[in-house]
Order: sequence, then structure tokens, then C-alpha cells
Amino acid sequence: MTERVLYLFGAVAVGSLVTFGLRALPFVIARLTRKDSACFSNRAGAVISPIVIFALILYAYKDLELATPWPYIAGVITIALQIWKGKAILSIIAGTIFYMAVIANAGCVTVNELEYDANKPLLRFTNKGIMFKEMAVTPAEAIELLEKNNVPKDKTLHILVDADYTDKRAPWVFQRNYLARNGWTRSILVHSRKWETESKLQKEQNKGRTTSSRMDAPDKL
Amino acid sequence: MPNVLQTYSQIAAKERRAIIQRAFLNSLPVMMGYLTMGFAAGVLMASKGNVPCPAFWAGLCGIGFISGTLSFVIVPAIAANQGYWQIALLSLAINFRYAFYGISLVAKWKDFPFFQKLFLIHSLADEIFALHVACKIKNPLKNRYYCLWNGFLNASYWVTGTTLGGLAGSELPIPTRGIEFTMTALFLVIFTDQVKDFIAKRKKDLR
Repeated sequence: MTERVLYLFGAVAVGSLVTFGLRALPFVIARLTRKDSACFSNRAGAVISPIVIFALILYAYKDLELATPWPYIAGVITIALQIWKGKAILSIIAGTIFYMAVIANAGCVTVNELEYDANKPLLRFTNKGIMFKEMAVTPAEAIELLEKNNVPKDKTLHILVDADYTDKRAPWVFQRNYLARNGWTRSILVHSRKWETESKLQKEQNKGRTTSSRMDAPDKL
Repeated sequence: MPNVLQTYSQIAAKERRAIIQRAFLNSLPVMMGYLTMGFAAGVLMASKGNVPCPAFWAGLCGIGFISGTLSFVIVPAIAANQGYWQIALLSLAINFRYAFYGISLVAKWKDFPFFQKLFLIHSLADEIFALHVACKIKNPLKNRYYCLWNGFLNASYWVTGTTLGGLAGSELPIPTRGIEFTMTALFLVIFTDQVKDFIAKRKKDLR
């Protein structure tokens, strides 16, 4: 907790210092060169910022529900309103309210189709390494895949650890250093013995229905 | 540091009041924008920032940056525990334009006292800069008095907005799913305006 708070103070300080430094730059240059106006042209600012803003649009889009059409439609609404009325606050609020309204109900296709229960763990520690569905991956690749599949960070993530998996520390380190650092703060390690009894119970419950391999990963992703 | 109050007492009390009044009236349109956008940034911090006591952090970001864009963009960055270098780079890319704002003010602010200048530079955000430049008061002392009030009033709207947003986001049961679109919309609006300006300028040049 204290570590996080210290980090946050540091992050805000870094952002503040860089911002202040940029704002103070012309004044510092004027002081050093003893000129009343800095010698570089104002044009660079006009050229650079649209490129940065475009990059920022891509950056902001990355976290939206890209599997649904809504982020794009909300974007078009925002731009259209801005062209038509030219009132920034109106365009921003209208676009956001539209996006929030549609995403609250129909928009969460990617989230609803995934199931996050102990019986269908997304990630599995085996002697072959970390398995994501049926693929062996490195920890970094696992994070990348979670990121790519829009696995929500506010849901509990179950990680299956095989009973014969020898390294006791690795899953824990993965949980702490990879999952938590990238935002998946809620994850549970499920050890396969406990998991087996759970699935046996379930098998008894739906007798007659043959279940396939117990290692089945979620079908839809 | 010279005695600030004594310096400003050279301006007649009536005129001082008139300057504050003008600074306040000019800041009203900005107030609407800063309070709403700050509020949105605060709610975003509360819902996606993954921080304890979001109102504090949203407010601190508001005070530290006085930059709307960075207050939004820093949220996913601190939520993902990004390194300091990454955050520095992010701030540099986003706020690079600020390096050009001071150019037109260097001569005007040349003889301002150090700490007052420090505050003015710190609060040099887009809208505040625009108001500084638009100020038509020629008398340097009165101009300084106006600039200080202008910076203070507008910065306080922004900080109030972010803090209230952080408070509302963490205390009220408002639905926050999808609130991150405010950031996207903000950039889309800025970009649209830039393209609009560019096209208008081209048309003018062609004529």
C-alpha cells in the first residue's frame, strides 16, 4: 500500500515537473540568451500538436470495447457535433453519454461471452509452462493475450496450477509481478486437486452428460 | 521578494476591484469548461485509476499539472503502474505545445517578481494562456494584477472540478462503465478543431 502511494506521488511529481519545465522553457531560453523573445518559430507548435493528438486518439481508443461498433459510432457522433455546432463541451458530453448508455446494456459482448469460473480457467501452469487456452506462452505473452482479448480487470481471474507442477513460487510471482502490475489485481490460484473435486461434484450434478477433457479452456474468446 | 501587497496598493482600490471583476467575468466561459472537464477527469480517476482516495489524487493531479489532457492520460498510465520514464515521455509528448506558449509572454512578463512569475508559468494552460494574451491592459502593474487573478481563478476551477469528480466517482453510485470515452472524445474534438482550422487557413491562403 505504501509502495503504491509513494509510486503515485512520484508519478504526479514527474508529470508536474515535465509540464512545468516545458512551460518555463521559453523564459529560461530568454534568460540565457538575454533576448526578449525566444528565437525559435511558433510554427513548430502548430505542426507537431495534430500528430500528437492523433496518436493520443489511438491511445485512448485502445482501452474501449473495440469488438463492438459503439466506440466508432460514438466517435462519429462526437466529431459530427463538433463540426456542426463547434461546442467542445457539448460534443464531449453527448458522445460520452451515448457511449455509456449503449455500453451499459448491449455493448458488453466481449465480456459476457467469457466465463471466469474455476472450472474454465483461462491460464494454467503446467510442466510445459504457462498455457493460455491450448497455447504455451511466456508470462509477457500471457499478459499480451489477456490485453488483446479485453479480459476485464475488475473480474476475478482464476489460474489453474497442476498438481504435479513443481515450482511453487512461479505462479505467485506471475500473479504479483505480471497480473497485478498490469491491472488484474484480482486473481486466484486454483490448485488442481481442489479443482478436480469441484468438477467431480459438477459431473455428478449433470449425470448422463459426458463432459470432455477437464482441461477444456473456454470455447469462446 | 518585494512586498506584494504594498506594490499593488499603488493601484486604487476601486480599480483593483474593477480588474478582479473583469478577470472573473472573462473567466466565466472557462469556468463552465473547466468544472465539467475536471469533473470528468476526477470521475475517470476514481473509476479507472486504481488508487486509494481518488479525490485526493485527482485534486493533486489538478494542482500539479493544471493540464486537462495530462490529467486524463495519466489515469490509465498509473493504473498500469507504468514507469517514471514512460510517464515523463507521455507528459512530454502531450504537453509539448506548452513550450511555445511562453514565447509571446516573455517580453510582457520580463520584470515580474520571481515567485509571481513562477506561479504564472505553472498555471499556463491553454485557456488561461488565451486570456493572458487577450488582456488589453497596458499598465504593467495592472496587467500583472489581472494575470495573477486570471491564473488563480481559472486554476481553482480546474482543481475544484477534478476534486469534486474524484469525490463523486468514489462516493456516489453513478454508473462509470464507459466513462473513459470522455478522454477519447476530448482528443477527437481537439483534432476536429485543428483540422477545421487547417482547412479554413488553406481556403484563406488560396484566395
